[in-house]
Amino acid sequence: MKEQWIIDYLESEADPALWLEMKRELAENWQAQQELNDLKETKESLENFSGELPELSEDFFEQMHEKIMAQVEQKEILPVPQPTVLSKIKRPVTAASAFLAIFLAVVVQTPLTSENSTHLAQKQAFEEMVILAMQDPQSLAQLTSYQGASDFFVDAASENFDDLSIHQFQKVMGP
Amino acid sequence: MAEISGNLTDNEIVSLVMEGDRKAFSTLVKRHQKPLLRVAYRFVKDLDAAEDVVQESFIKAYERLSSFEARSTFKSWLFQICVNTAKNKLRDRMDDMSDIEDVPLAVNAQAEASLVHNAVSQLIQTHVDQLPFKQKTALVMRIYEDMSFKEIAEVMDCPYDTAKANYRHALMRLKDELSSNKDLAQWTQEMNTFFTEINRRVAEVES
Repeated sequence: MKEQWIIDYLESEADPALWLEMKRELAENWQAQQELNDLKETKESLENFSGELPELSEDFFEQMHEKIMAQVEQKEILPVPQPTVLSKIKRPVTAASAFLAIFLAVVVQTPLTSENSTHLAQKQAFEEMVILAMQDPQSLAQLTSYQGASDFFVDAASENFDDLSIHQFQKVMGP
Repeated sequence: MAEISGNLTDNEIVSLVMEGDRKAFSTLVKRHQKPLLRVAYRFVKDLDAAEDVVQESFIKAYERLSSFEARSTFKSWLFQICVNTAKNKLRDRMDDMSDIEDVPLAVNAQAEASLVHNAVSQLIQTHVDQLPFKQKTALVMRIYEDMSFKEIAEVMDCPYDTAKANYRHALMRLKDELSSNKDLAQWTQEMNTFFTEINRRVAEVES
């Protein structure tokens, strides 16, 4: 915002009502004052070192004018371009296409990407499991058997316990 | 007819041309060819190319005159065509060049007072050329053509605030770049002091 009003001030584009306020702000704010001075210097540099067009004679411009007018003599003013049939239907078609695309996205994509699709997959898996259970209960038992981490450690401990010697057992448990 | 239309406004002349007075277009050419050449030259940096841009712009303007709706001034509309034509010219040239940095600035050495002035001008203009196109357009129109931001907005076909913002960004970017180049900063400061002194003395003499 500060940059904006500094430019307004620099270019004398500021609202007259704000002019005094800007002057006061500049007097109190040395940073803004510095920035204004920097921008003023930059602008002066651009004006002083303009790298402008070399000085050209009036003859040059007279010749250029003649060349332009010679070409103008051979040209015609083109009629205002009328909207073509394609451009006339383009906008409604574009709107309809956009609507259709959004509709399809909602109808087709939503089940695949939302909670509904998860629910659908769960329902399908459930149906398959029921069919499998009806056909082969043993396979289903294997399929649904579950061994958690704690089960594993219990099994491992059991195995080790079986292998313990009496000496080792007494060492751990005490005499 | 050109003499008669000399006192008319651009829009009045456009009406004459639209009614079939082809010669009246001559007044528009005479009125705007100099500033248009200056603007074109700022973009293409070559007098021949700038002349081509101006000729092409006037021909386009003539052919499309029926599309001109006096919503903007004729001058803004013409400058808009010129800037776009220059932009296309630059694009074509970029395709032909491997290194745009090597393009020399066609500065007329005789027209410049000193080598230092030339060097500083060249460095500054190199920074100006490196600005984004919209920022450069706003800067050139404002500083070198003294256009109002309303006119610049018309040329750039953008809102008023956008034109001003482009100008502001250009100026601030140049400020940063010029101040980061210590030699350039020193030179410009010395030369600015010099020019300020010259202007002061000229003002004294005139008063």
